[in-house]
Amino acid sequence: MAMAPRACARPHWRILAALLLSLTLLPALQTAWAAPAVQNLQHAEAVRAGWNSAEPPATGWMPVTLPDTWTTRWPDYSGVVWYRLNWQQSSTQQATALWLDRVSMADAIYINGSLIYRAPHLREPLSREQVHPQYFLLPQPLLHSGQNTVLVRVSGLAAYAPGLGAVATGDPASLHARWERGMWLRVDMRIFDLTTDIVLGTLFGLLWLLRRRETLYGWFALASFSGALYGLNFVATSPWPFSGSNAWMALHAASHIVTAVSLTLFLLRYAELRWPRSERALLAGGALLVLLALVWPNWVGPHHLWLRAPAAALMYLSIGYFVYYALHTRRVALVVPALFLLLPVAAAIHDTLAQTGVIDSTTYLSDLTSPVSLVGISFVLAYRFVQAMRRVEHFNAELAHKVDGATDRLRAMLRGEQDLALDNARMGERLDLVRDLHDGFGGSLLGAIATLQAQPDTPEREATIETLRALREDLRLVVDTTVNADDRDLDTLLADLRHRTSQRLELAGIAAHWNLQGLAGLRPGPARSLDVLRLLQEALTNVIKHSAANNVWATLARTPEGLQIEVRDDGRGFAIEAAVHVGAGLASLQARARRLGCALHVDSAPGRGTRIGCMLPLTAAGAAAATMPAPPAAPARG
Amino acid sequence: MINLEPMLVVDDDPRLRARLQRLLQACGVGLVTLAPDLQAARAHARCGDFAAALVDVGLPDGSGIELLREMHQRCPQMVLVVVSAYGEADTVIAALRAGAVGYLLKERDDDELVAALASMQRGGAPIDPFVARGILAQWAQPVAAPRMQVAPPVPPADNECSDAGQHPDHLSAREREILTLVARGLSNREIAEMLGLSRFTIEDHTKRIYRKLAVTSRTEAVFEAQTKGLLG
Repeated sequence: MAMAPRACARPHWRILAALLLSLTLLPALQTAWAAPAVQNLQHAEAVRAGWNSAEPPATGWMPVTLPDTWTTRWPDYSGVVWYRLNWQQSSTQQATALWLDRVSMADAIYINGSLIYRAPHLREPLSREQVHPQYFLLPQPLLHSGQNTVLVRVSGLAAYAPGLGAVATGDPASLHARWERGMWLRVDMRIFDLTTDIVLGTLFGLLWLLRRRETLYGWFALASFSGALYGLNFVATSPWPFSGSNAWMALHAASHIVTAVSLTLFLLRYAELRWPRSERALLAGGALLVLLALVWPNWVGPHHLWLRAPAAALMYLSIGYFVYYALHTRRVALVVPALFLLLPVAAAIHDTLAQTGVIDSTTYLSDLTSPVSLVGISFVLAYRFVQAMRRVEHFNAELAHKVDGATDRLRAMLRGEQDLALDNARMGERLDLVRDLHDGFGGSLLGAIATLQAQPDTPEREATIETLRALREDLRLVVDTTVNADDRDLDTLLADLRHRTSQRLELAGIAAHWNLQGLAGLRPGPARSLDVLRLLQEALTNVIKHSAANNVWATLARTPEGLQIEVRDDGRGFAIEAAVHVGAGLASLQARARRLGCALHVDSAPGRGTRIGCMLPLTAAGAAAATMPAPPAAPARG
Repeated sequence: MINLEPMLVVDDDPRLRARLQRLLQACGVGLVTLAPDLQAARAHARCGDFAAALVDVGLPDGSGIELLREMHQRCPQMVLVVVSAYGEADTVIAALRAGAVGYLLKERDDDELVAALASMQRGGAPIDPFVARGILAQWAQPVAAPRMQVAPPVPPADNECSDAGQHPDHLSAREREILTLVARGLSNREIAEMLGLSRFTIEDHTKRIYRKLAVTSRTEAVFEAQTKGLLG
């Protein structure tokens, strides 16, 4: 019962302490293993035997040193090799254990001639005992005082490093600790790796299935799954479902190739690089090798290194290039995973150096880098997720902003259109009215004038024609200003009057001198524009009819006080006091000036010409906005 | 002096016909044929028969613009004048594009119309601010493709001397200047003083502008016909 909580706690302890322990404390543990209670059996004797050998041969034994790989001695030998090891046991009462670091491949163990362990398959398909260390608590009745013998019958294939690793006997606690550490490093960690690969593969595979555009995820899922398949080699204790070890190793090599190719493609996609030709060549080469492995497993199995070497080279090359590219571009999204990718590479270099004896270490770090890689890939995923979320949020904000803007514009446009439609409707009505006036009333006027002109010349006829002409001129002003006053400045509205009057003055032998100042941008509105034009036209008509002048000076000038209107001639003039008799013209002009809200100044004397003028007030707002409100309290028309 | 005799007058209103005849008489144009509608006018109008024509726009059996276009195409040397009501700037512009070189506004006083006729006899053409504005607007918004192709915008350095014949259907800088001044209401005399030209030169320019308007109109018509597949 006391074991239960510990067993539960074990995996957590392992995973959490994995790096710290293995990297810092292991040398200390190694010292602890060298306790005198344990005997490391380095010397053994070995002999070859047939696949069916049930008993160790009597002759042919030769001394070997453990760990032993028999192909160094008997190249290309596949079959059974018996190993015999002796150790001295001081007391049979002392609990004694046996520890075997690595047996390749299937073994059977005899203590003093008695079988204590037998792998399930001693012939093909051979059991794969090499994946884990072995530990046995030896039954006390089998032990002798003094010399004891352990026989290890090993079935192995020449292609897969057959032989016997380190063997030790002695204190069960120490040896169990050794076995446990071996199990953790070589089995538990590998299973952790494998599980991680399967989880990641499933996650990203589903991501890819739901979002085929993201081939990045697809390649990563493939790399993960094939990595899991690759890792299965290090934990599976039988070549199932294959009938032989060659097929198993061929699959192992194929999975290595698939992992390398898909990882390379994942890294390219992740770095947003596109090398279509190289990628096609890579896929074609990888597919060829995998096909080779599946079609000729019995050739590929023994030569699996020939396939795995290029796969490993490709993997390190692509990682190396990715790291270079990441550091070159200095993008966080690339640099962080690049650093995480560097750790397994560093571990692999460490392991290679350890294997070749360049550095003194028996701990292989490659098996421990999986959690680190997991952190790396988690970062990648989280980073991409956060980036995507940021984009979405940004997009949402931008969208909201745009929608608001569009709504405002639309509202303003609708309002503007409404106003415009209203204006157009008003304008249309006004234009219709004016057109009717022009065509109907104007036509009648013209007809009447033409009819009168065809009649004999009498003073009455002349007077009537004059009246009709005055009506016609006024009608034209009304039409002009009504149609144009809204979108034309005062100077443009004046243009027709000026041109026309100049011609008439010219025909009358009067030179016109116009002085227009500051009228651009001035839009007093239809009513006031009409009054200004009427005032001017009547004044000039009076000049033509009555003044007998040689010159006329017409001034319209915008001054700080307002719009100055003045018509001056050098004609015959008249006596102001007698102005009442001069005609209806002056009275009419005065009425027009009143309508504009100003007083008409008349300055004349017989023989000294005439000057009439007024100062039209421009409100500050009207002047600034270039418009003028309707005249206040305009006297009745008349 | 340009001979306006014999003159064809096409108008459906007998009073206006009589008035026009009287005005022509005042200008010394006595050889006048009167026609009340298009049919009669077409029957009369054969090349060489008339030196000039006054054509009202609204005729009982069609538009006077059509008649002007026909006559202009047949006898380009004919002096064609449109008779229009005031304020119908579009009508006047359309007539000028059809080949007219002058216009008479019915509502004008007799002496003003006589002055306009006299101007045409001198080889000039009358113009009013609303006509100038209409022409400027025509050229300001070149919608027809051929104008863009045939004549690129006149460079500022271009003057009346260099453009003669070079861009037959495009306004010269001087012509544009004159039109702008007319549009502002300046009289021919004022413009002549301002530009240091004689007022008759101004009238010449006006007539040339009208001619260009007609040429442009024809170019556009050809282009339009081509795009519609009427011509090869």
